[in-house]
Parts: sequence; C-alpha cells; structure tokens
Amino acid sequence: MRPSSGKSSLVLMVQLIMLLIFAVAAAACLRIFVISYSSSAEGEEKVLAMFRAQEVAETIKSLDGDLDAARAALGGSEIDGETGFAVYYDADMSRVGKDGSHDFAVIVLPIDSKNPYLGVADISVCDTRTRQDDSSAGSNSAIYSIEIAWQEVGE
Amino acid sequence: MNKSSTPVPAIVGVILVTIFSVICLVIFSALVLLVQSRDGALTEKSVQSVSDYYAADVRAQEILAALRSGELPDGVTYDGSGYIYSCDIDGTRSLNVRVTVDGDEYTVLEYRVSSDGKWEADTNINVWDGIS
Repeated sequence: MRPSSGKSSLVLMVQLIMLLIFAVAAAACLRIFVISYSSSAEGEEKVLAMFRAQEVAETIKSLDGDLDAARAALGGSEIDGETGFAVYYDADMSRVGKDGSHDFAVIVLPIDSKNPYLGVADISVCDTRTRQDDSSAGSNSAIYSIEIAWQEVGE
Repeated sequence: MNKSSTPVPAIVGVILVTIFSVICLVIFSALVLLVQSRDGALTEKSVQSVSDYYAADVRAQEILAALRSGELPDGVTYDGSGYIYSCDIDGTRSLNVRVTVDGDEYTVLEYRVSSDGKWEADTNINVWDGIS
C-alpha cells in the first residue's frame, strides 16, 4: 500500500503545482484584460468628448460667436457667476438637462482676445462625476479641451 | 506480479496541459495588449489631429482679425486683390486662407485644408505590359 500511496501523492503534488502555475498566469492575464478594458474605455470617452466639443465649437462658429444663441441651440444652461454656458451629458454622451443626472459637461467660457474684431472661447469637456463644481472651467479634470476663435461682426 | 505502474504518463499529461493553457493565455493577453496599444495610438492621433486643426484655425482667425485692425502680420502676402496666408496644422497639412478686401469689407474666398506632402508616383512596380 505504501508505494501506491507515495505515487498518488506525487501526482497530486504535481497537479497542485501546475494548478498554482495556471492560477498565477490566469491572474496576470486577468490583470492585463482589466488594464486593457479601462484603457479602451478611457479612449472611447476621450473620442466622444472630442465629438461633443467639436459639435459645440461648430455651433458657436456658425452663429458668429453668439454664445446666447449657441446655448439656446444646444440646450445648455448658464453657469453661475460666469459669462459662458454649459451643456450636460449622461454617461452615453446623450444630452441631458442640468437638473437631471449628468456625468459630463461641456463648458464654454469666453476669453478676452484683446482685439475687438476677434472672439475667443475655451471649450472644455469635464467629467462631472469626479468634479461637482463646474463653475471654474479649464480645470485639471477636463478630458478634452480646445480653444476656438471667430470674427466679431459689427452691428 | 506486484509490478506497480509508474505515474509518469499522468504527470506528463498534467504538465503538458498546463503548459499549453499558459501559452494560450499568454498569447491571448499579448494580442489584447497589442491591439489595445494600437487602438490607443490611433485614438490619440485622431484627437490630436482635431486639436491641431482648431489651433491652426485660431491662428488663422487671429491673422484675419489683425488684418481687419489694419496690421499686416508676418507670412501674409498681398496679391493686388486680397491677402493670402497659410497656417501650419501638423507639419503635413496647412490651412490656406484667401481674403479679399473691398473698403472695410473683408470676404473670405478660401478657407481650405490642404496637404503639404508631395505626391510621388511609384514607377518601379514591375507589371506585365501585355507583350512580354
């Protein structure tokens, strides 16, 4: 009985060692999948943010820099204490109201260009899940940010 | 008669199956990482391309505003009927602008992205000419 018991325990030990090796490899691979998934989600978020910023930029430029008209056209909301406006989006980057549950905000803030013929604005797409106070644009939580310019048309 | 069978086949089988599984996992993970890396690079290029365009657009608008203010910025030429200038986007593309002036009225005739790269025909491809 002894030799047979010894062989069985050897097989069992080898199986356990192999199982351990497989578990270590599977854990490393799982970590790679998780990193890859989060990186992919981050990239997707950035591209969607870019599309939304472009949408707002082209709307403002098509309206010759009339921010009020652009806000109305985009369904945006005024920002307390600022001259710009914000457009809110949910996790799928679909437009939602300010009062509703929102995950992202496109914040438009005019910039003084020092030239009366030139209008300039900063457009930042921010993650409002990490940043509750969207009264100050250009912060570090901006996923994507561009500056746009247009010609001011005289009255 | 009491010849005990060696457990070698069982052990070898377990080792081979484990090695095969681990190799499959490693190859699969490497491919996932490679695809993700390429995808991330493409995303960055795409995002950077749009940022570069808007940066060039701002420069072009600044030059136009300067012209309207009566200044003549560097890089702007006057061809008798209007002003022509170009703003580099990313080294391979540029934003070409042509503006005519009629009194105080400035009209943008051209606001076009063009490629700066030179196209060269490859004449070295050895194709069958139908004769020889």
